[in-house]
Amino acid sequence: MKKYLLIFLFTLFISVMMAQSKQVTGIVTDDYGSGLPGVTVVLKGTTEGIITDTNGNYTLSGVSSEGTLVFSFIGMKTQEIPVSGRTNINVTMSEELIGLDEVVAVGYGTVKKSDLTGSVASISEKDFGDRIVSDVPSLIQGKASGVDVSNGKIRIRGTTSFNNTDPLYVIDGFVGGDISVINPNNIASIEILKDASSTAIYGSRGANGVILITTKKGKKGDLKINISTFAGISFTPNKLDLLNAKQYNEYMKDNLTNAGIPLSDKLLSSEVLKDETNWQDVAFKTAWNSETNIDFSGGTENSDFFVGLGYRKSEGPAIGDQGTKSYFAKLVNNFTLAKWIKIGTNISANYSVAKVVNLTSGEDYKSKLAFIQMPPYYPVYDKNNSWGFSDVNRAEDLTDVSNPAAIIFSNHPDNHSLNYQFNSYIEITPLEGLVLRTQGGITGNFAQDRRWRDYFVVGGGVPTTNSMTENSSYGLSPILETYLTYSKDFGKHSISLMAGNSIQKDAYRGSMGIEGINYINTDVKNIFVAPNSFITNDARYQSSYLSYFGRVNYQYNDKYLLTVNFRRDGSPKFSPKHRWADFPSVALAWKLHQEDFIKELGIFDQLKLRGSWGMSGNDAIGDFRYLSQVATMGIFYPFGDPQTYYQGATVRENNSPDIKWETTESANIGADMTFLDNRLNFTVEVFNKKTNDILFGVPRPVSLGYFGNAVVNAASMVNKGLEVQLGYRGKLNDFSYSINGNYSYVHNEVTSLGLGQPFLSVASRTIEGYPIAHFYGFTADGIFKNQSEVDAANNAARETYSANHPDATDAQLANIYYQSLATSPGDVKFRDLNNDGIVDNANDRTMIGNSVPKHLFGLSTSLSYKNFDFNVIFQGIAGADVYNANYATTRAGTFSGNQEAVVLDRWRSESEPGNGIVPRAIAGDPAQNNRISTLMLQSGDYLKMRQLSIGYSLPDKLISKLSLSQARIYVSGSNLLTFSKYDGYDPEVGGDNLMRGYDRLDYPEPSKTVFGIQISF
Amino acid sequence: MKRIKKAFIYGLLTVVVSLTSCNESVLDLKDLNQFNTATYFNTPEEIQQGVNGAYHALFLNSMLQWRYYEMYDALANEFEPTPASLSNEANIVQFWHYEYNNGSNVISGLWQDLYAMILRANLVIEKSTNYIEKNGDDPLVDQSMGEAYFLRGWAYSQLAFHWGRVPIRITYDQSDNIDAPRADNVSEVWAVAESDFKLAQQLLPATYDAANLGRATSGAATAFLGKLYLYNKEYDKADLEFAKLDNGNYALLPGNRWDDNFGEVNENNEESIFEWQLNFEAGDNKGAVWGSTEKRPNPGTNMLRPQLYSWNLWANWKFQPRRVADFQYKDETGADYVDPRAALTFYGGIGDNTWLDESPDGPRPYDFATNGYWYRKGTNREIKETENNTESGNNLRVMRYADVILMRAECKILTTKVAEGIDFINEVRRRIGAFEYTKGYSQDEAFNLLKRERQLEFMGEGMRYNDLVRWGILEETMNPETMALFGKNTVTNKHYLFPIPLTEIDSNPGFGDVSGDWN
Repeated sequence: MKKYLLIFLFTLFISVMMAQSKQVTGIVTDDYGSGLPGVTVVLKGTTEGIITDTNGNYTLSGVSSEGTLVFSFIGMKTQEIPVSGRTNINVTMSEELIGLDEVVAVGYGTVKKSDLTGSVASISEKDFGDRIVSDVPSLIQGKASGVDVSNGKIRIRGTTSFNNTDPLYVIDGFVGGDISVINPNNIASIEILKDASSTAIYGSRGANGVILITTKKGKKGDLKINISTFAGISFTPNKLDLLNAKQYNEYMKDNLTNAGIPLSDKLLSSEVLKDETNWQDVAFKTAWNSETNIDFSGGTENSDFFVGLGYRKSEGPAIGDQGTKSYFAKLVNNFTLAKWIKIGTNISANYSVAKVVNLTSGEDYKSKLAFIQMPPYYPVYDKNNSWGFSDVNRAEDLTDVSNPAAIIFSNHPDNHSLNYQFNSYIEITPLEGLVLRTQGGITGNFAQDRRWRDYFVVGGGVPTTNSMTENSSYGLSPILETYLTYSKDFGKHSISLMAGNSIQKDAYRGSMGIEGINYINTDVKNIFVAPNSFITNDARYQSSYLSYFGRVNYQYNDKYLLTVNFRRDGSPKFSPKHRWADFPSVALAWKLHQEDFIKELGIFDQLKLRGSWGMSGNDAIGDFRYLSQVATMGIFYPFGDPQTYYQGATVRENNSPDIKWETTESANIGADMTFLDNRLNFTVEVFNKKTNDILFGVPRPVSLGYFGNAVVNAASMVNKGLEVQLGYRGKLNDFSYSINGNYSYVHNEVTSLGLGQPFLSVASRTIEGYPIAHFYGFTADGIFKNQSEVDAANNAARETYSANHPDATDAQLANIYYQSLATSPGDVKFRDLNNDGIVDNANDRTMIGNSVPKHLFGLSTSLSYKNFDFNVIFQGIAGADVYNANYATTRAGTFSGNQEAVVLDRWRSESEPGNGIVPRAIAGDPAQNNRISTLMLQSGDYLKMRQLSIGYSLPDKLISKLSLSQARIYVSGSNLLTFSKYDGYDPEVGGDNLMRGYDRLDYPEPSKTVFGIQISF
Repeated sequence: MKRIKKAFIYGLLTVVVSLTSCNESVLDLKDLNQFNTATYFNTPEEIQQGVNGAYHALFLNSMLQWRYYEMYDALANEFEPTPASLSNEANIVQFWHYEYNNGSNVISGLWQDLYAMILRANLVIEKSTNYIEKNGDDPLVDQSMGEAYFLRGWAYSQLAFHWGRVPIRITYDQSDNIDAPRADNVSEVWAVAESDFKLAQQLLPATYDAANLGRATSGAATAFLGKLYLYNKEYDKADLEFAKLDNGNYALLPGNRWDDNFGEVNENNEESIFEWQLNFEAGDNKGAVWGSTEKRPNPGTNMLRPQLYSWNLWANWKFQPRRVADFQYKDETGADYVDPRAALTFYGGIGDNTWLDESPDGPRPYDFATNGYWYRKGTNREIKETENNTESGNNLRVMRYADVILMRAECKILTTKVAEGIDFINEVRRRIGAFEYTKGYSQDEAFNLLKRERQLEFMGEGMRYNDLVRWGILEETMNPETMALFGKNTVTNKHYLFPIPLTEIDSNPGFGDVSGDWN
């Protein structure tokens, strides 16, 4: 309404004022011939102009025949057309499809996308789709090449260290920002700095890549209000198949009888054949989720503002999750006080209340196992027990498992947290081209976790005490950064210089914990009134950084670009002699499309080649590792009569006096191309990253008496890879579509390792010449089907042994077995890889699987037809294996308790050999069928449909009647489909770098479906 | 306006420069949570804390209570696993089958924990030496150093006996000896322990005040030095040491207080040479089990053993029925005899047939038909009805005076002073009310009597496997038992030593040769 009124008035005004002047008319259309409304048409050098009407028509009076008309429209290439005496000028405007002139954030500055010399992946607002995910990693997953997001963990361009490989977050220029303060709905764009020329400016913290998050801010214009709200359900996409009561009973009889354990009367009775509970159904529920966000934004010539408010109630399908409520607030203000001075502030806060039992450790973690292992004939509840839940009887049920529902429902967590970030800046321009910017801010958090635990009994009669635990943690991290930028063009030369420093001091974080137990009266749960109470934790950490940095950008004739970065960092994590390090980088780019010989080809709209080299560092190790720390916690001894605790003090861990920075040196070569009027874009890059001096715990001889390893700078690793990003956008009449795909290949290899000795972390071995944390174990080769196969293997072992040891006595030979004395029919046969006749730890374990995915891919497609839009995002990985860390207790047939349904295919007798892979059921595993082997590995390849949404925008007529500027309704789903051969919960498993790919029964990411409404005023 | 702008800009620049030109001292941070060795262990009190930390090594995962004695009971077939523990305690059941290997976490844990004790002792010895050099003698420092020598000697004698040739580390700073090779000869390892016990003898007091009961005494050092000589078959030297303990500080408890050797009351009594101290405290996770207490807030030192060895809901180990017959033998007249220790060692059959005798709720008849055999010794079933959550604090006696007397008997018998040996055996039997040996016995006969005496006196105390090994009769004794249990002879001569843990081989490139994945 307003727009038309404005156009009308404008037209009236101009026609009155310029009636006698020459008049130019025309129509402005897009590539597809449709009229473009709202295009600004201005006579160059004047303020006289007009906006095209709804059909794209314009009439501009008072135009001199020598004048030039400038046509501009957001998202389109601006065109300048000389009038040359014409009275009718029709213009076709093309979209700036990939936003070549879009400005993207880089460290301490911005740069036009077309002038980028390094490797930066940019994800803009439209790529996010309907943001029904609630965290930043999920927003990124599958949308940028070279970025491996799994289970909330982000690795950029491979695994660059054994240690922390989390990228550095920079939120609105705040280095080391906390992403939990950010409402994902307020994010305007995310830039991922991948190569060292982009990350070197962040020096010591850049080696793992940098994620720059830019949040929304106000734009010049009237108040704009956006409201978006959605609600829906979340549920688990997958549960495990378990044995039913009858199958369970058969299994237990096999399991116990094979081990020579007499069955109890209960197991022989019929009462245990009744299916009472499918414990997997108890583990999950359907949960309700909703979110509402309201933004207010606007601005004037000299100021702008953005206020964002959000409320989210999220609940996962695990039964311990009673929901999290999050409240977000954001305020951004920018003021141009005078031409030479600008100031601004940016405040974000998130307050959350979570009532979620985290099933990550201790009894809580074991409850996940128990949701598999509990006998199916037990009900969940038992009124006869004072605590209300059933409990197994170890002597009668012959199983050692605790009712998981009792553990989870007795837990009453109540966690409150506040995260905030406050940032402000002053920018002054004393001379043209010279800008001094000082920005300072603080990020902080306060969290209080309280958990009440009821009295209950589990594990066949083990009582627990009731308890109240309370943990508080806080963090305060101020930063002050100042930098000076100077830009100047000299003819064809264009130069920009930047220098600055960054100080972080007085940064503290800490935590405190108290606990009260044995409450007799539970009306009041204050820890002060508990009969027994104590301090469980008190820790306080300081941190600081001091950095100097600078950059030179040079451009010649808009064809050749050079970027040089330098940073010098000091970190208190190292001893004074190893405290400082320098991180340089250089990058070159050549805009070939500006060269005539390329222009003549008429193929490329853009063709840019770029190359870079640089260094960045990583100091993400514990504090004070260079000192030999004295351990006192939990170290004491009860001397005396009466016995009294005497404090002890000793040294537990190796110190590491000589440690220094890890440095990553990386080279990158890339090409950016666009074709077909910029509709098709293609980027290809290859990189080689070499990390040296990787800090890692070298296993020191156990006989030194220390626990843990000695940290030394001893390893090197390379990550080489290829990244491809391809996009196409097209339109057919009312039907427009875009497809964007990305693919990355990463090869990881450990190139040196301390003294060269490989090291083993459970099932993962890190060794020179292989990717980090390769799975290591035996190779299973079917099962022994009968006694004669066992005897044959043992006889062959003795023959080989006596051939190799001619002096062996008969007594010695009698002790030689292919595997062991205990091996019997139905046991797993492992391969004797070195053909020495026997299967042993020393010679027959090998690299059996890869934990680091080799291929990453993502595909997103958007379609729109008239008022309908459709969006789907796929993401997947290939070339990775998953290790089932709970194999021995949930599916191996050796645990006396319920198992996954795979044990139905077990060997039962010579006449019922099962599938030839699953061994017999036997308690205690005397034949070591559970030695780490290929039986525990499965392919972890998957393709997931991350998002699917269908929307409908109300027609313009209707929304203008409602005085709205936009209204859309949609249904959207996340994580609805997974294609994978993996038979556990979810092939997407997390894990630290040295023990990656372990399925620890992490519950699968919930599926969600929601219905939502977006309205703008 | 322009002037104002200029002034403002200069003013701002000054502020910015002064804020940001910060010196490097911002990087000099202090660890706010932990002490470090450069500044700690410089006072007698801190040094004593160091030795307390060395004692605490007894609470590490694989030491005394958790695994260590279970392992010995398994190796000597002195228990019978319950059905549940057959599957849940596979790493212990392996020992019962003699099917453990160098990957056993019990073996590697014990190795690690013994060396942790050595490291901690070395720290105390170095810091004590530094203190004395700087400040002169101090009684607390001397005593702490003596305790450190005692603990290190104990650890090295364990290593020498179970693994033979092991790496020797006798200084705190091992930076020149990180990949220490195994000793060329086991005698080098024994020599370290011998020297340590001798130094401990000199430095330690004979007794402590009530507040310090439980610390190693000079008598403890003497007893372990004697035991070291005995294990090395130096009987005269051993006897000389044992004789020193006949000094009035030690005596056998009267027979009616036999239970005090294993119970919660009357700990650190006159029969006690060295005890691992445990103390009951209510609360969750107070057992010194299931992971190290170290680095854990508010852990406890509760004893788990009585719970695991009795008919509680969480019971792992029953009394081995085969052992019942050991208590039945002929007296000197040739008549059938049941040793009185049967009723003190186990419930059921010829054992004790009532429980809760010392409780107001008792005594109660023991339901042998339902329960079968369970240990009485070391459990608290005479005073408690149930014991389900590590609810006791029984100290664990590492050595008691009865052992000294029987080791002395062994020295005498093996040096042909048979009659004197029989006298010592009789001293132990007299206390418990068993008939005394009065006939003349040959050396072989006397030695057999000694074997039986040690077996009955110390059943369930982790002694028998050690005795069988040092007497060289492990295979001949245990193979009939594994044959009866599992239908196979599983014991071979390799079992005289534990396998060198894979964890050490994998982490110590300088270790040296290990033959056959074993030792």
